[in-house]
Amino acid sequence: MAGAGLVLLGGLSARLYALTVQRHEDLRLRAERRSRRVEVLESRRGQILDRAGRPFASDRPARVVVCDLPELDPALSFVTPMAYVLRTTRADSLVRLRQARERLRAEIERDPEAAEGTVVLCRFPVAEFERAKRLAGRIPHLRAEFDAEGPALVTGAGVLSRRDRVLLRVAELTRRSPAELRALVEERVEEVHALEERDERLHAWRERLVLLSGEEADFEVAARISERAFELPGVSVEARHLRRYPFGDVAPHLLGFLGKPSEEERARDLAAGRILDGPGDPLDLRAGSQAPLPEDLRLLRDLYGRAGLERAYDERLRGRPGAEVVVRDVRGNTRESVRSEAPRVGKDLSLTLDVEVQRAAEQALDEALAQHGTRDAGGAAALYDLRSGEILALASSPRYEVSRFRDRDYYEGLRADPRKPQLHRALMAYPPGSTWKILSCFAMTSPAGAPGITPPLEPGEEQPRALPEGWTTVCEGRLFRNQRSFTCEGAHGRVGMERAIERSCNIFFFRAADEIGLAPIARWGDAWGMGQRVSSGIPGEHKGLVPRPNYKEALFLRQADSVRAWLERLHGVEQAPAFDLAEFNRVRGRLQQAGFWYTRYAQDRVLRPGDVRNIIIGQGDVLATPLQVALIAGMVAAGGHSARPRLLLDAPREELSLPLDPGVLSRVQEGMRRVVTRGTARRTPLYGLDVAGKTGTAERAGKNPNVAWFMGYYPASAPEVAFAVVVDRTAGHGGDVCAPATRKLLEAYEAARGGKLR
Amino acid sequence: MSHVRRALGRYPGSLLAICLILLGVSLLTLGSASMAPDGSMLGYLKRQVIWASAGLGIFFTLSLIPYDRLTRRAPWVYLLGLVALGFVFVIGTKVNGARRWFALGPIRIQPSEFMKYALILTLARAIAVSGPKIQTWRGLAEVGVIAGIPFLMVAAQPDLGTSLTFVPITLAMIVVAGARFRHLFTLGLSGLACLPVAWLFLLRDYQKDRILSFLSPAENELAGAYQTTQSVIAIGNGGLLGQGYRQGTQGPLGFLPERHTDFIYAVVCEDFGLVGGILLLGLYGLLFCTLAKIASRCRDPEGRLLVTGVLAVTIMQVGVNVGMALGVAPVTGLTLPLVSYGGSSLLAVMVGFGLAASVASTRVMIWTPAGQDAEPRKRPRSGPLPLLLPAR
Repeated sequence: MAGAGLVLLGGLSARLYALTVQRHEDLRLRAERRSRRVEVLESRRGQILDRAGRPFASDRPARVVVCDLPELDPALSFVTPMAYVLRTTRADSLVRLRQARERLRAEIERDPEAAEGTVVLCRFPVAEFERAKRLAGRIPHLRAEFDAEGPALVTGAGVLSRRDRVLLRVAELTRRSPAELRALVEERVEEVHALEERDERLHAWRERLVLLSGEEADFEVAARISERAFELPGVSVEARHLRRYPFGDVAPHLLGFLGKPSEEERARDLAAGRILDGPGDPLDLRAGSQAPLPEDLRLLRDLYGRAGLERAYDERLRGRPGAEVVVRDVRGNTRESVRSEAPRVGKDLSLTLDVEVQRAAEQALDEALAQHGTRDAGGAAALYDLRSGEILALASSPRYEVSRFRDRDYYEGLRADPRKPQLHRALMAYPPGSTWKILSCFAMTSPAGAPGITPPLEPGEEQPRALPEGWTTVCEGRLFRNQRSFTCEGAHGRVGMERAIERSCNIFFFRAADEIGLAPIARWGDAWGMGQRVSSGIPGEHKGLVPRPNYKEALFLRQADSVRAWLERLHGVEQAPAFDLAEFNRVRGRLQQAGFWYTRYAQDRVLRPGDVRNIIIGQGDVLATPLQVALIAGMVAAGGHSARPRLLLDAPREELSLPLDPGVLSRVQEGMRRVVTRGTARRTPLYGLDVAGKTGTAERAGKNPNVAWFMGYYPASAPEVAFAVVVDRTAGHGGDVCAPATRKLLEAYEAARGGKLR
Repeated sequence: MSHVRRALGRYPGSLLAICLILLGVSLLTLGSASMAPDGSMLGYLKRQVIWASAGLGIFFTLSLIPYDRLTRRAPWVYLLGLVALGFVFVIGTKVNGARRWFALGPIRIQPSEFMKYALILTLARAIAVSGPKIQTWRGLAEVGVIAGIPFLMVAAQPDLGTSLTFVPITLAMIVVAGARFRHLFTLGLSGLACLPVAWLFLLRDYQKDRILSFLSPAENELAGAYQTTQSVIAIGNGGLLGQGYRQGTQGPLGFLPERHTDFIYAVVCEDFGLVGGILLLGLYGLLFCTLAKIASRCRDPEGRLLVTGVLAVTIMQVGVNVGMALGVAPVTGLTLPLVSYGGSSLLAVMVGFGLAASVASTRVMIWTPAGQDAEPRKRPRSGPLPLLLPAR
């Protein structure tokens, strides 16, 4: 008898040994995890400031009305048992739950007394009754019952309609409609269920749903909600940081916006353990880890930079959430703090932009568009200080409100707008038109390129013939070549370089093109930094395009490749017809129907003199961004030594230098000065100001509207800033469209530094 | 008082010592287990001190009374027990859906705890009186009836755990009394055959739940096995040497449920680790040996059966309670003798050990064929006692 007892004790000791020694580590971790809780401390995202410290975007503490879904809607806990009993998915039982809710809603409308009774959630086979009873026993408010029709899962009508009642009350206290709130909750419920279906341990319910935020949750609303808290179970007011954009629609494209991460990003961050409040114990904080928190830590609720500066400098702006590891008891009361890591506030991002100049530029563009634009017109402007390289304005029009960008209706409205306000036109590339002639002036006089910058000529390459700086030609207003006519604005008579710039004489440049060919223009384009991003600190900047002598061949081959691939997809690799140009041109129409849209396509693969004539005056296949065009003006103004334009105040000044021939330089400067005094921009508001510039009007193929430019520097006598203004899709010409906007831009520049326009 | 003097001469000091040590362990552990998040459990320690003193009083009283004075009155004790069990159904307090105890002024009495020892007393008397009849079906049936009535009453409370302790008590006693192997085998088989019937008709949902959750704790962590999981975690957390007195996390933070009664062993293990757990099991081992020694020293079948019953119930409780804490036995309300908090259980256990002490200290003169070692019997009044039948 005692022997049996001792054997029993021996067995128990063996089990005790297994638990305390062999499984000690595992169980110790589980004990620690159970008794510890990680409290999340939100960090503040850095501000985006203008040069004077005025915030374009900043995180402000704000009140938000949040709801705790499980508390708001106890019926959500029925979904899993329903799925078990019905042997179906949770998504399916979620649908059934919604149906039961709708039935109840209709019934209560018919007969208010129905709100007191019980509701059948679903019926299930008799065989499941025992299991259902067991499952239901563990869920509050859920019962398994037998009624006349058989077994059913039932709950109180009050429980099922609680959510609707509370949301109705919240809607009464605020300015939202009940349907809107209901849709918000419903959407979150579905989202959470989808998440849980994938990863059961996610506990996405814990994250509270923001019902009202920003303007809607003002002090008054928050006070009303807090006051009625007793009748609003699950709804509360919390303090959170919200991103605010105090200047509304100033520089929205540049700032970008914040948004939820995509599914892949979320999955990747979860897998890498970068989500502090992710499922389980991603950083082993509850298991007592003392390792420093990773720098790129995030919270589930954190918004990620999705575009613009918010995205490009996300890491810098983001900061790092803090965590407090506390020992808690079974009721959830905090006992003591084991480890406390303060959140780290994100670093501010100081821009070189001046909010006043930026706003003036944007408004000036708006007005220019209203006056000269077609229905889908857009414009952009860039102004930078050529001594320091600081970009003072980088404007695009039309625009949108950053804070409303994530509002679905607003966004749909933007997308339907033919003017495409979501495009950041200051970073897009357009044909530079006649502004390109400035660069061409240098190309024709020293066709080997900029000494010391352009790589030396290949040994076999022919030494190109240079035109003398004083070279002149006669403009008869028209040039016939190869049965085509190339026209000028007027018959300018004998023109030299200054007069060609002043009058924007095409014939002068056409004749020069016939002399030098395309190679010098490509060399100078490269030397000037065209076809490359102006600054590495500006997200989303287009590179522009400088055509090289073989560009048509290259373009043709690239497109031929894609067409060949398309043909092979269409017909199969074996049956694909051989590619030829005629076939290509036939197919192109079908390609466009199929969604391939070539803005530029290869007409043929041979570079012809006509192409060079187009390129030398900035038409056709040359592309440059407003910032690049402003940089051309800046280099001329500063005699070949400008600072590289930059957007961040703390980025180092970087000197750009280009050995420009002093003789040509002074002629070009003189020409640009004369543009305003007696040239193409003389009948504009710029007349009489100390401005030098160049107008430009790039024509599109067919009857499409023009791209109008005005670029230059100010003051002409002692240059401080260089600028470029572009309006796309206008019926007007460069000077008429862009010069008024330029004047406003310069006025704002002077006003910002307390000066007066000269 | 002559019997007192005589009893003191052969007093079972080791039994008393083990009881005192276990009571000490109990108070020590309750000191740790009563560290509730809200401090609401401090009262348990104070009350346990009172219960322990009362228990020791009962132990001393019973140990000084010759046990045959008690066995003689076994039928009355048995009836009293049944009446008390009946009372529970009438005026009992319902907790968690079961009526197990009733309040008598400030004291709560759980009659089923005492019924175990009433049954031991009664069976010892009945088997001893009926003698060799235990080798027949009829004798076994009598025993079955005596044990069956309280079994069904307790099971109907419902308190399956306590009622199931009646089974090993009865079995141990009939085995020691010399029941035939053939009969036992048949009984075992029919018992097995009854299991499915019991599952379908007798067991209630929550009882099935507990058994199911014991069989697959990982799947049912939310339900019944929550307790077992917590207990296993607490024990594992203790490790080799333990977290230190009151330094554990599962106990003081309230994660371990029922830590002052059902899962007190987990508290011991969390605080003192493998070493503490083994030492406590060792103490129980010593207790078993001491009781077994008393049983084997006793020449009187009645006394021997009595101690056997007490030993059986002690082994059963220790095994089930510790097994429950270690996650190898289903969760039942069985307490750890002398260590768990609880007045009724402590007093009842002390009654049992008091009886054992009484058996140890009472010298009964019995007739043996060899004639050696024969002393005058203390009280031959109850007629000739049958011999414990030697092995067949």
